[in-house]
Amino acid sequence: MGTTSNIIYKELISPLGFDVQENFSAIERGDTGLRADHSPFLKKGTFTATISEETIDVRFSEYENPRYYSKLEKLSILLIGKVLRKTGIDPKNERTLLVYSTTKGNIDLMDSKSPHIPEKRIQLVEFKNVLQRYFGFANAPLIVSNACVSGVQATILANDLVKNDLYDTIIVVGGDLVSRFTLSGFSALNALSYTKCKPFDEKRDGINLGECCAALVVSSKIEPNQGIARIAASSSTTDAHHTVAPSREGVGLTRAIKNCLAQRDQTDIDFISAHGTATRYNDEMEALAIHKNNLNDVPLNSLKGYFGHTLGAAGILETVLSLESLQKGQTIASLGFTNLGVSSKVNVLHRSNKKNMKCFLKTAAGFGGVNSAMLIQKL
Amino acid sequence: MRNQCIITENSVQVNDQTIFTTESPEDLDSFLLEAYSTLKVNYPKFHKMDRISKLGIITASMVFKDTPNTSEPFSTGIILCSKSGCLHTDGTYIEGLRPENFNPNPTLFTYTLPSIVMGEICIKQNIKGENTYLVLEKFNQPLIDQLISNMFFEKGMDQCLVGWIELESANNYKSHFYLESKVNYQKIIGQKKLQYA
Amino acid sequence: MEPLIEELKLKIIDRLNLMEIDPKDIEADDALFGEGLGLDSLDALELVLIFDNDYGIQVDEIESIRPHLKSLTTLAGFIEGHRQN
Repeated sequence: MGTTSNIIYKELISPLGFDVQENFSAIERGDTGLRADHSPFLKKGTFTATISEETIDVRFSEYENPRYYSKLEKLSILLIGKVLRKTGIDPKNERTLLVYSTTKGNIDLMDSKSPHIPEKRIQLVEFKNVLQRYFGFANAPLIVSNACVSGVQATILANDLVKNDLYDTIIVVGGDLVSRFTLSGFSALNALSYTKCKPFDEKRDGINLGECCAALVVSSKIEPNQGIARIAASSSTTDAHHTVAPSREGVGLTRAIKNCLAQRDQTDIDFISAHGTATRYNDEMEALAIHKNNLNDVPLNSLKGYFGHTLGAAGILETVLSLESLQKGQTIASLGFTNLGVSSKVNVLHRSNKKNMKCFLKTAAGFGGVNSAMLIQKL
Repeated sequence: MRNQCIITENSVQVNDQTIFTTESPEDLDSFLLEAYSTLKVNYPKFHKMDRISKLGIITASMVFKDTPNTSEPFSTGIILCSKSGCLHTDGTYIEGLRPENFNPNPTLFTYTLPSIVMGEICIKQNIKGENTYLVLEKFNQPLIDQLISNMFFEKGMDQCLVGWIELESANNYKSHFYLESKVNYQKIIGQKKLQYA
Repeated sequence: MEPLIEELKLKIIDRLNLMEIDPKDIEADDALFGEGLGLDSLDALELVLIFDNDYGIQVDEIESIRPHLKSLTTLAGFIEGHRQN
């Protein structure tokens, strides 16, 4: 491969805060973004983690009139704007690219009656055009939309493109919203929990949905002291089993993790940032895949108890916070967990503690039977 | 030569030969159903799928028509791209969300992820390797070539199913899939290098 | 029970889009899931929709009715039971 690629910056807007620091402090306090959601179209209530549009608009008005942009566009513009200001990256440079990870983009516009936002912006290509025009990106942004592994795959893709010397710098952004569309769908699938979700717990009974916008910057150009980490190994697979139910034997994820382990040097894995959606089947499958790779003693967390499942943003959100955890030397407890409820023993983190760490494994799985894993190592 | 299949305007072409077409322009659903049974695609789940997945399943099956996929499943990758993704199916699902007739369908909801067609193809063809789904304005060959090259030379894939799949409306759709093998790709790269030398 | 079983059979073939299944090939006591008709978890949700939309039976917890989803006979029994209540 051509050059080296490093993660040099991270940023996050979520219900728990408008930057990484705010988010990490909230997590340390054990706060959650999840609130009771009694949307009238749901048979039973659920919990969701959402960002108030009023709060977004207050911040957005400093730059632009909020009325012309959708919620996800405003979140993305606030986030990308901050990334550009903090890193000095020039979007007009032909060696700069934006990779955006999302499953449903502007789908909430289906309920919008705003005369200022054309209906066609519900299309992902149009959404991408808004971001390109706003910042004047020289290259058309690339959209990765591969269900719930989108975030991890977008990060891997960006890393590969930089390593192959096609771009110097890539901003990887993940964003998805809680909408009537997704809530009704997961409810119809019987996948929503009526309580706060409990990843890997014996009482887990489904997911909560959440929304956020998260960013990572990968680059071959690195200023002194700028580098955070590098992606040491990565792999994606499919189960080729069922589009909704994960393989009971965890075929695909087991292999993806195995591929990652085969690529690594002798570095120990300090923790696993699991997908951990808190459905019966996902967590069971994921624990099995971890067990089969002899990683059952490695401390593990799922961040879904803080943020819900943010779909296409999840992999990036969880990587951003895991990186902060690495840098701070402070593990993150798996919120919502009390007693282990999966057949394969895994080491779920009950509480946060100080620890010198170098490397973590990020896993993800999604509809379509897709799985991804990547190994991230501190520089 | 690499195997390829193009489906557009009520006709199925495999390696530049039209192997199926309907005379009168019927609606898309009956075209897909007829193509499915005439071409003996054999995927019972076909009838449950949305239009884009049906289109994808037929196209992929025709790529493997004469040379069934016998490769190691984890060494076969897949790259799909589309402009509209599953927008068409989103519309159908949203129909079921109208307050006066609120009846969201769980199966339909799963097809409102653009990449589900890729999952269906992987099940049908037993593909378990590296996978990518991109939303692009149009098929971008230089970018796709980079991704293919990455799959072969960095991710250890032996072959890769590559495809553009677009369903803008029932009258405006196109799928174009081809199977690229590492061996063939190395040859092409060799020739390119010769040209430059 | 007999007419209800026939009715259910046709409804299932129609709603679950089992177009390649001949109604004559499904016996009343055949397993619907796994080996047998090969229905999956999504199909189970579709069956619940049939209960709700066609027979006015609301199911909150799909796990609680799992035993009734075994075969056409058990499905029909479940519906009959609700009619009598």
